[in-house]
Amino acid sequence: MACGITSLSSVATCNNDIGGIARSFMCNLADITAVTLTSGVISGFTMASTGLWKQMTYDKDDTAYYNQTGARANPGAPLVATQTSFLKFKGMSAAYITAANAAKDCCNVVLIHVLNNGARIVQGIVIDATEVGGFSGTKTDTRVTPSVMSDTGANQSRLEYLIEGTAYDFSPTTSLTDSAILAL
Amino acid sequence: MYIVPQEILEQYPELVTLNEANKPVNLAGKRIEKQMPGDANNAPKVRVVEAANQKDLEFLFKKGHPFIVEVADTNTTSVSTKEVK
Repeated sequence: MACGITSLSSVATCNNDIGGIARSFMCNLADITAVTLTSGVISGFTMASTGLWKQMTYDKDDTAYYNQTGARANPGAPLVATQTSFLKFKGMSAAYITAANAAKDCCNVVLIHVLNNGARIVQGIVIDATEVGGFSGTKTDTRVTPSVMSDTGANQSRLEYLIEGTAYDFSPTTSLTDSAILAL
Repeated sequence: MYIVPQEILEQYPELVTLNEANKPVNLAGKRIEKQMPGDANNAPKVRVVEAANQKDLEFLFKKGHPFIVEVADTNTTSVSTKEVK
């Protein structure tokens, strides 16, 4: 993106500053064949088949997040954002273990996170008009690192998904609603 | 008329997206009926995706869909050829 300085004011705009993510939808990067944009926002996904977006309904205990932390290796180096989401599912079951074993083997995933403030951010994808389909994957693959935890009797057993990749740009947003995502 | 080029369809025999009414349509020109097993969030069901029509393709073309191209109507061309003969 070309250099530009945009005037910002969190006071004047009274931004909705609630943190955290409420729910997410996940698919493989290879399941997406094309994206369309409206004013820089993803307004359409084209998928390799139907029913490929899977809903992630995790614990509503304010532990889920999606953070994009920018860093430069040195002052002249390009910005690289480490994009990390964390999803926790309480309990432990055979279904959780099967899901974790399958998720760990995915080479590159994409998630739509619905933030508690209503914004919808797409992790694992980079808008690139020069690519077939208008997008590419992240600089380093976005992968799921699951953990299956019994913890102790004083605590909660749980499945945790840590999903991480890096990119030169921050994640795009999407205007697709939950029902539109699930209709695909 | 609007089409998806054959080389794209060979790579992706199904191409599901949303039309102007936010209904899923298949750009590969055929109806899809797929049995979806139930999961933690949804009961099992049959998903049906209708084939996209010209109106759908036109909407997506105008929205900048990278796979859809506008070509001369082959039916019109055929009629013109007959008229010349």
